[in-house]
Amino acid sequence: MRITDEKIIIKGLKSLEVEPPPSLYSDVMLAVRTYQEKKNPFVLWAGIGSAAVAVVALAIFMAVPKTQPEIATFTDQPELSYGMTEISRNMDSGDSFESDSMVAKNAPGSESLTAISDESQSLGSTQPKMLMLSTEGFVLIKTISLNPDFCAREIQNQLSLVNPTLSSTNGTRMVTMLVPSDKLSSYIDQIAQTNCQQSNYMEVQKLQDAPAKTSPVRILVQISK
Amino acid sequence: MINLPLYNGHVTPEQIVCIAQDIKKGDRESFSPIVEEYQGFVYNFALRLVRGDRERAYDLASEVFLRAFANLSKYSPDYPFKSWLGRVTYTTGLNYLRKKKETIHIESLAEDVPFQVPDDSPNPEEIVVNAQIKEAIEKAIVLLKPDFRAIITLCDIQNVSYEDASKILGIPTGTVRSRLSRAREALKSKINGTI
Repeated sequence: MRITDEKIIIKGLKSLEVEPPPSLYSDVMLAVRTYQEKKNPFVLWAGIGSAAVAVVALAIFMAVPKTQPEIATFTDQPELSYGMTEISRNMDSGDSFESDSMVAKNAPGSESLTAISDESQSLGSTQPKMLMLSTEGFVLIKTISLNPDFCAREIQNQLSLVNPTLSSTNGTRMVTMLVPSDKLSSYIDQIAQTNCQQSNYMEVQKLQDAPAKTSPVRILVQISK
Repeated sequence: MINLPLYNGHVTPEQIVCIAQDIKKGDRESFSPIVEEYQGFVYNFALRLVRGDRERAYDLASEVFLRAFANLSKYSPDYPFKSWLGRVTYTTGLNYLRKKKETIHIESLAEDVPFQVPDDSPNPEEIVVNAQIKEAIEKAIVLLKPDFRAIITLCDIQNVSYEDASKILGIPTGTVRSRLSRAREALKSKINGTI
C-alpha cells in the first residue's frame, strides 16, 4: 500500500493526537507545590564573597591589638604645612632622641602609653583604664622648646577658643584641651605654627580615635626642654 | 490586546498575568488552570519531540510546566500564551534531546505505543485501513528530523496557526510554510518506505 494523497496523511496525522495521562495534571501540580527556586549563581557567589570579606575584616579587626598606640600621620593633609614635613619624618620617634638630628631611636611602646595615661590622670582627665573606653579621642603631641613655660602660654593664647589648661609634671609643661574631632588637624596645625621657640621637632601620637566625627578629641601637648 | 487562539479557549492572557501575580504572592494553586488547559497541547508536542516515547514525553511535559511556572512572571500579555508555552516546550524539548542523544527503534515503538485515539469509522474495513495508515504515520514521523517533527506536530496534529508556529519555533511565517511542505514530503517518503 502506498499513500500518495497528502490529505490522507494529514487526516492520519490529526488522529495521532492523544489524551495526556490522567496523572500528569496531579504530578505537575505536586511538583509545583514542592518547587524550590534555584538561587541565582551571581547572587550566590556575591553572598559567599560578602561573607568571606566580612570574615577577613573581622579577622583583621581581631588581630589588631587595641592597646597599641597608633601613630597619626598627617603628611597627607595640606593644611599642616608648617613644620609638619619634619614632624612626619619624626613620626616614629620614641622617648629617646639623638641629640643633633632629633631622629627617634625607638618606637613608642606600652611604657609610653602608660606614661601618657599617668600624665592625663595627673591632669584630672581620663583614668588610665578608662582611656580606651572613653567617649573621646586622645592625641598626644610631644615637642621640645628652649622655653617650655613660654611655649605653653603661647599655645594657650593661640588656642584660647578651646580653653587650654596648663599643668606641669616633673618639669615638663603640658597643655591640654578638648577640640572637635573633625577639626583636629586644624588645631594640630595651629599648635605647630605657634611661635614659641620650638625646635623643628614635634611628635604626634594618636592614642585613641574619636568614636564618632562629632566626638571630642583631647589633645595633650607635652613640652620639654 | 491580541485575542488568543487558545487550545480550549478559557484562560485569557490577562488571567495569565493575574495568575503570575498570585504565584508571586505565594498562591501556587492558581497555576492549576494553566496545567488543566494546556496539558494536552504540551504533552502532545512533547510526545512528538521525543519520538513518541510516552514516558519521556511525560517527563518533558512536567519539566515544561515547571519551567513555565518558574518563569511565568516574564510572560507578556501582548504575546499569545499558547505560543509562549509552545516555545518553552520546543526549547526544553530540544535541550532534552541533546542531553539524551538516544533514538527509539521503530519496532519497539510499534509494540509499546498502541493507538490511543478511538477510530470513529463505522466500516470495519476502513477501521483496519485507517489503523494501518496511523501505524505507518506513527512509525514514519519518528524518523523525521526534530524540526520537521515539531512543525508537523504543531501545524498538522495540533492545528496551530502558522503565525503561532512561527513564534513557537522562532522562524518567519514564510519559513513555516516552506518547512511544513518539506516535512510533509519527507513524511510521505518515510511512510511509503515503511509500508
